[in-house]
Amino acid sequence: MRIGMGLNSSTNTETLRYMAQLGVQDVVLNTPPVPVKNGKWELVDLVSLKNRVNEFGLTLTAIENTQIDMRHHLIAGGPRFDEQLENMVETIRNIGRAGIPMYTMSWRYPRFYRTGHVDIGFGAQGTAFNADVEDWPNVIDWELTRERAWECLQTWVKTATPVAEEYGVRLGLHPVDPRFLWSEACRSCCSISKTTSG
Amino acid sequence: MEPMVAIHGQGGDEVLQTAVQYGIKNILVYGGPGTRHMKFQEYVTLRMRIESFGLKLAAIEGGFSPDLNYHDVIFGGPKQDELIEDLLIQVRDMGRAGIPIYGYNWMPNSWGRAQPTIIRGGAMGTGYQYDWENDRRPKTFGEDMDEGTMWDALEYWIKAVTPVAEEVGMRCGIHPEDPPVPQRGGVPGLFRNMAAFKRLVEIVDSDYNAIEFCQGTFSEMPGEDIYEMIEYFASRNKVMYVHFRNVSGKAPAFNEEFINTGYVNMKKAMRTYRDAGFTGNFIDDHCPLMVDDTDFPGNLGGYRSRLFAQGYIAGVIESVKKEVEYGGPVDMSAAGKGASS
Repeated sequence: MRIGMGLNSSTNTETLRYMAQLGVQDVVLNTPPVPVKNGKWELVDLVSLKNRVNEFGLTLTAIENTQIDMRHHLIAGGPRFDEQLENMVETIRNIGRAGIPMYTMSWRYPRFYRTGHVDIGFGAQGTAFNADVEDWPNVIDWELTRERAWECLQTWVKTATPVAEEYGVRLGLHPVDPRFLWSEACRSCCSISKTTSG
Repeated sequence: MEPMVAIHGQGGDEVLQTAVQYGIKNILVYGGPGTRHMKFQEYVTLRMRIESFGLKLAAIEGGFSPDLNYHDVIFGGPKQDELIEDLLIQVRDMGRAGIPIYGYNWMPNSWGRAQPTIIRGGAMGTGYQYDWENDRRPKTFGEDMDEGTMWDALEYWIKAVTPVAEEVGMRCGIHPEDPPVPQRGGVPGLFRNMAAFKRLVEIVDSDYNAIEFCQGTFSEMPGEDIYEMIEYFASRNKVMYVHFRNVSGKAPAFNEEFINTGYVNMKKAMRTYRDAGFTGNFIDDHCPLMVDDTDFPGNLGGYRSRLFAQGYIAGVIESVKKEVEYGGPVDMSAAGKGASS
């Protein structure tokens, strides 16, 4: 077991050097700043991302999430579903070609969020979620049924898993946080594909 | 056994608030008797300020020995009695103000280092090389000082201060010579080995004549076994509190390391304190200088560096305490397996 550390939307020198000094070996990049080209991440950009982390003596162990607009139709069954499916599968191929061994994502749209903060003593704050107070934003302008949402997830897992196996990338889903609305979908994912790449 | 944060007396609210947020209850303040008298009321005010955060002022650490005005206390001399009388007034004031522990040292040259070392990830740890320093350091008092005279003066002081410490209920203890070498600038390093501390605690056999146990320095002592020294002094209730830091090796040449990369097995050390019946506190003491760190109102190291050490100390304390609770070493791998299945 080793200690990993996450870095969100950035690969800044200060933080990577800080990780190296802390004795961290494994870095997990969440939504790294890889340019989106024609809806995909290209191999050349993923290789330079990996090199960037390796420069500090660290290992790029996993990527969590691509930019959300690469995959919101995929997750929420939008009109560009097929296009985004194809692009995301190609992105998985490129992640594998670049030698990055894991890709995980949050299967929800919108992503992770909270409704506020609460004081937990002496000025420290913890994030909080309260479903009652949430003023739900309207984020999609197409119809989405529960059945369609399931279908999207199944299509993704069944299409992406063989590719991931071939290219040596383990795929995983983050549990839905807050555990609300999409939580059933996440549980189902594990039952759809029980291979190591699932 | 609990962690403790060490700060300068003038540290603002931020550092005390940080201690509360870390979940640490004990505060050590650098200060104590010296040329500038802190009066009884000032000690009370300091203690109450810390208590207002729900924290405890568990110790004051400092030392008058590097102050040239106290030369005659360290080496004996015409003003010895007069200066000791003055110091004892200050010790009484501290004790009466509710300070439970006073850690000091017997190092007229203070502590010292030579060239620093680049350690993990480009961080910087202090370093020491005896020859390097010896070639450059002039004689502090223009001549070699006599070790026997220093011991005589020390004994005189211990016999004077211990009854006062007992009377006001404040434990006093001495920090080892850091670096633990025979002399620096012609001044003998009295507390450079285990034998010196055995001699110290035998001058007056009392819990109030004890040791400010800088484990970092003890582990720098050539020819000594760190675990044996912990066991010996902790089981005799001579350890007031611990400076829990790690080093690459022993004098004459060593450098300070991150707490989990030095040569000392910190978990084994913590088990040794536990098994010897030690119940006091642990400070991080010195931390390496890390990238873009933020100033911390304390000893070496900023907030980042200190956070790493404090988190580590809290983790080691918790794990060795739980070993007792569960009746043996805890198999942490079970938790990992559960999470990944």
